[in-house]
Amino acid sequence: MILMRLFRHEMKALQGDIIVWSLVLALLSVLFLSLFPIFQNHPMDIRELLSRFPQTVRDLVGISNFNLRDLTGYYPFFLKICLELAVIAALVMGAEAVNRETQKQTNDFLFSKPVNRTAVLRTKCLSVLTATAIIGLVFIVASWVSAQIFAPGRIVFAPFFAVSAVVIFLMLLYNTWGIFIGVFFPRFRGVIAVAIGSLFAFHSLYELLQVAFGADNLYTAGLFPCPISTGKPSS
Amino acid sequence: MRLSVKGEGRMNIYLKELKSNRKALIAWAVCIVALIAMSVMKYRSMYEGNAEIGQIMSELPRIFAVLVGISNNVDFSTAKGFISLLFTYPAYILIFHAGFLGAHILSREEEEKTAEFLYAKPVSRNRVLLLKLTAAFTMCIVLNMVTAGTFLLLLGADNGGELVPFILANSGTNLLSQLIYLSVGALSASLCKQPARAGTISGLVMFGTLLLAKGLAMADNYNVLWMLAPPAYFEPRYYMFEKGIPTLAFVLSVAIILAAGILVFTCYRKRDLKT
Repeated sequence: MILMRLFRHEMKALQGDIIVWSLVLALLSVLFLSLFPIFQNHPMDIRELLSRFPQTVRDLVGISNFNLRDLTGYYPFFLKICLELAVIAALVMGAEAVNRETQKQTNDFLFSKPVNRTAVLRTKCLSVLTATAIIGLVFIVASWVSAQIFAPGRIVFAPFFAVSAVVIFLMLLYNTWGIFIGVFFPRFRGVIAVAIGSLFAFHSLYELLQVAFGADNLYTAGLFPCPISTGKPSS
Repeated sequence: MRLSVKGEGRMNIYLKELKSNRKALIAWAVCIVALIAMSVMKYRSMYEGNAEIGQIMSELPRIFAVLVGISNNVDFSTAKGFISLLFTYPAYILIFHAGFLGAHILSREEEEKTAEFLYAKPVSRNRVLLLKLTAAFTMCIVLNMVTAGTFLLLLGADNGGELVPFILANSGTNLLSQLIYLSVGALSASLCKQPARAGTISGLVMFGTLLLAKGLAMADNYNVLWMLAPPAYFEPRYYMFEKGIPTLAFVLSVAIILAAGILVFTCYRKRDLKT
């Protein structure tokens, strides 16, 4: 019972984060998908433009497999921007769930309750997981609805869901890292800095590897948590 | 004797703020240095002298170019063009650091239940505020110096020091935008009823204005909305490729800093501290 109450308390503490991040991601998806008709009707084919250049240059730009006139090419491209934000949210949520008690001096209060530490941490993990699932689902629903409005009939649900679910899985990964930081450095305040920093570092590494091994290399895509190589056109 | 004790007490608040934010400051600095170093490495290994890149970029539709992060037609293969693109990212990080710092440095005492302890000391609330904001400003300056230093170290010697004046101009304008967001963050901490929300509100203001600045660049239409988007005030293209930064940008930023600063000092004094 006490764990249930703890879970509800944690969810209440995460409420602000859930609302803000769901709104930010949902608004971004509406914004970007409402821009899609402009690309759809743009006279210039970016793929054709890029095909005139040598392979190295195409890898360098990192958009060699892109067809922005098609939703299957456009969607992964904007998904990347949402992923970057979601990852920051996930890391911060994970870290704060654990180090909140230390920073707000409520450790004494919480751990004097008749619950062992493992159970507390398990409940905290569960609440972060729930928050992540809610944010991810709101994002997926928002982008599915706006895809239906701005590009009706251009995309099938199953692959769309599979690509969008990346948001949830990547957030889970960064949740783990956040909890890790929270457990081992409970007094650390620069969590957002670490989130932004690791994002940039992995992004640059990913781009370097992309040029070194080519954009189509599966290992490059799998090595780093920056899955933007999903942009293969279906045609 | 008494004077020195009093003076020590003043310095203590300042030094304690610096000390308790030291690790976070180091993390932010490492983040900025890594970003710049990685980007310069990328430039050296891929873009330098690769004229085809510039050609691709000039042919891309503008809206797409802005989405990728290029807001003006620049030649990537030269150090000048590359640095004009690179300037924007550390500037965003500096802005975010300043905004969160301004909110947290004030709201933290209430969140960590140390407000009672601090404000029971024989130091006036305004003095505490002044010392805390001075400490925050010091940290902003340190981070700004780290940014400028990294740029100078990695790209300062290119083309016989051609980029040095741009790096200095960027550092100065960054300091102004840091001050803007520092005062906005402090304002959100002194107005917000719940101390835990201050950081969120400050973050939303930063995110909203950044999005607005991006939107303006995307539409290539700088109308009256430009005044609401401080990240667009000092775009590198103004002092690198065009006549210079518009005077209005300086006037507006000084006005924002002054207005927010006065509001912080008047509102925080009347604030009902949560304990």
